[in-house]
Amino acid sequence: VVPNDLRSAKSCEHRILSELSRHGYDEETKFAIKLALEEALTNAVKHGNGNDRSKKIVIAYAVNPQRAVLGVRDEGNGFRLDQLPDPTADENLERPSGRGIMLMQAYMTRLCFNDVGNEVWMLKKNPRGEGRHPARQRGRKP
Amino acid sequence: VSEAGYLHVRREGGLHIAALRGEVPIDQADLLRQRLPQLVRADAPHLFIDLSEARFIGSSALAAIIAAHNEAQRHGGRVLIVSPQPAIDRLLHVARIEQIIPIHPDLDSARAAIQST
Repeated sequence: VVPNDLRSAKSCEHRILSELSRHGYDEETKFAIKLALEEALTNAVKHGNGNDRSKKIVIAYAVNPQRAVLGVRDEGNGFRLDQLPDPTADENLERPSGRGIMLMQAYMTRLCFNDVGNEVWMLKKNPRGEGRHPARQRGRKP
Repeated sequence: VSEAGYLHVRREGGLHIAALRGEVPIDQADLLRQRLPQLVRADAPHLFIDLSEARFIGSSALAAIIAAHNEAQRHGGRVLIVSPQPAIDRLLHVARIEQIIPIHPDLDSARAAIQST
């Protein structure tokens, strides 16, 4: 649980990125996870909690060599995913904002929100970790 | 002129060149959103955004670039993106930024594009 400001969120982001490096994630995968995490944190701090410093955000993560799972929850009222305009539509390209969710979807393996829309969970598989899963190794033909 | 660790700006005739270097920190993106559009003015309506040394940008930096593009249009100028690294080039294409802001491989190419208009 961290205060609702991006400086606090940044320190948590550093810890997660260090975990990714420790588990051997490549630069492209780390770029994707960093991008999605920053979008989620920015959304939580600014839009979910409305930059209210009395509020908190909850960040949860689990990283192993095969995958990274990240969750971010704010205290806001959430949103409806199906009501967001498509930022890649021609008529929206010159709108400065509104690309965060699209980028999270584009760069992560899986993305889901709770029913309210104030909690997001993201999964990223590590392409380099595929062969390091014990169960997969057992099932592999020689 | 170094305005922040990640933002270096210099003027070249009727344009500014803003070089983003390293990473735009998550807690600094709002400042970039304010600053980039300010670099577009009536006496310098063009802006090159040099990404050759940028390692990471997110949607907040994209918003700053698009806000500068919109401001440049109001002044009859253009924003051009120069020399993005492959990861950022992919990001620009995923977001379809290249549909509204041209991407050039180097500064000379960008200068030639401005001179030909």
